[in-house]
Amino acid sequence: MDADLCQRILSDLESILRKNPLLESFDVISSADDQERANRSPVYVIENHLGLDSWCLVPVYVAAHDELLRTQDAQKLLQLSNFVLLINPELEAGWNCRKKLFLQKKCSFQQELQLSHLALSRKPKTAEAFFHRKWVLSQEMENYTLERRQAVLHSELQLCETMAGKYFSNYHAWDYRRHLLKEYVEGAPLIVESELQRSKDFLQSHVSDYSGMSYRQYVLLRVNSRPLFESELTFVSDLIHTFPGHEALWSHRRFCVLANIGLLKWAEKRQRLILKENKDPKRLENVREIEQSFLRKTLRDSGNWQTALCERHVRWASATLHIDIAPLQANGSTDEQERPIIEANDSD
Amino acid sequence: MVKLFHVAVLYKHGSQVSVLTGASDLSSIGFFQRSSAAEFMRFTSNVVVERCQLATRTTIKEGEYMCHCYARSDGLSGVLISDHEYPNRVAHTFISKVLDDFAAKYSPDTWSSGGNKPLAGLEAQLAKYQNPNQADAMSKIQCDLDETKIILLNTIDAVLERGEKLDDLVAKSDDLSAQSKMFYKTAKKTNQCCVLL
Repeated sequence: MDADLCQRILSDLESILRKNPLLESFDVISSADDQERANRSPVYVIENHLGLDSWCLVPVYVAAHDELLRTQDAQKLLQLSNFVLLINPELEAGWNCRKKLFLQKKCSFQQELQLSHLALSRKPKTAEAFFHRKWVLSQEMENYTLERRQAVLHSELQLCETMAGKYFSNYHAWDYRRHLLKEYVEGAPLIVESELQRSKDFLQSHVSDYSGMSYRQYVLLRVNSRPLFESELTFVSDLIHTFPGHEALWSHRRFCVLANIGLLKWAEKRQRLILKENKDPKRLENVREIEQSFLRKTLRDSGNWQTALCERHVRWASATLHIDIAPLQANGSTDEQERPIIEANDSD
Repeated sequence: MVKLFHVAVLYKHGSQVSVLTGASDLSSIGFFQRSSAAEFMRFTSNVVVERCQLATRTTIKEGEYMCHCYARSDGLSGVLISDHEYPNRVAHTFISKVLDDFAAKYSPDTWSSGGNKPLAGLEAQLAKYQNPNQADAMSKIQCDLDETKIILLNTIDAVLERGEKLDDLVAKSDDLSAQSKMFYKTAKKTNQCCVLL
């Protein structure tokens, strides 16, 4: 590919990005035949979505990447890094180049958010793009008014949710969300409250995504109220019955059990969970009863895998809390042969 | 994600399969991939119904998708494509309900003519069943649906006949556009790290 065409594509992309600040997503479109390419630019916008024809991808990327490392011209660097980072957001050198430009005030806060957003919309689990956002926010947020900070925070939380929905167990999205809450939310009960509700909605529609649950646990511990833990326990029981066979829900249940009897706490600014040693015998007895009746109900109509999960839960309780929660008698289903009663298996 | 993507009613007579009606919700799929995804869902529905036996319920896992299929003994069949978190039992309850609704509206002698037979409210039903919690409470047939009667298959290859391959079927199919075939080839790679195309 000749250098002129390459340059034209880069300029096209730059002007499109500048003219459409609110693009929703970016994707590479496989063009099957070569005839189409003749008369139109490979970069285009359809209904606010940015598309790039695949035929130009490799040659332009190779040329742009090569030049990105050599040139010093700021305007050029901006164009090159736009293209390179959209295609390959894992390239930390590219983001570093953007950081330099940002410090020289060659590109704006909004531009950086736009580029990393579009890159994430194609590859939602890219850690480097999230790190870049973290960095840009850390540069700018201090200078903003409270109102503007809230607005940025709101759109960032929304972005996390979108990316978490796009890719299963998207650790970096959830980590970034935790980071936002830790850095920019002091007290601010309204946001924490809305995060509680939003993470609940997410959990309900992503029942095997433990990354999301882990974030919810962070929020729950941050609020740290007994009634909340109790209602969470009922909530997760219902989910386990509606969606049988998802182990993530069981892990979340274990968290709820521990939190409910006050064995977990939120250590300073870190979300580490601390298992306290002193255990209140009265509360433990209470837990035993709740878990036992829950297991009995779960075993009533469950397949093999769900039963296996019940057994694991029994083993966990005996290992962690030293209590035996195995239901004494499995329900009265008589048509099949006697169901074996689950036994606690003291492994330690 | 607990999500339903596509529901379709088909008629299976002999080795022939004709599509009668369908509805989809592809809002969670990337903008540029929606049309290809829609084609693939219709294609998969056909492939599965063509090969399943009458009077059986099947649930096939293919990648992150689940394809639920129920062919009644009179040949009327339903396919529901969901993700892997959607409860199987509710999925099959939904198919039964859609087939009953369809049979109530169109008499069996019109089925074989194929073509477009819209079923009012199918889109709304699909939206309602996105939340299995609410949907389950509404349906009455759930009691007589025993989960153990659903045949679970781990890949779509399990329904294909000997010597058949999904890749070949895709390549041969007339229902899929050239763009969709490209999409099928590249779709798997996008989420890998440092892969350009």
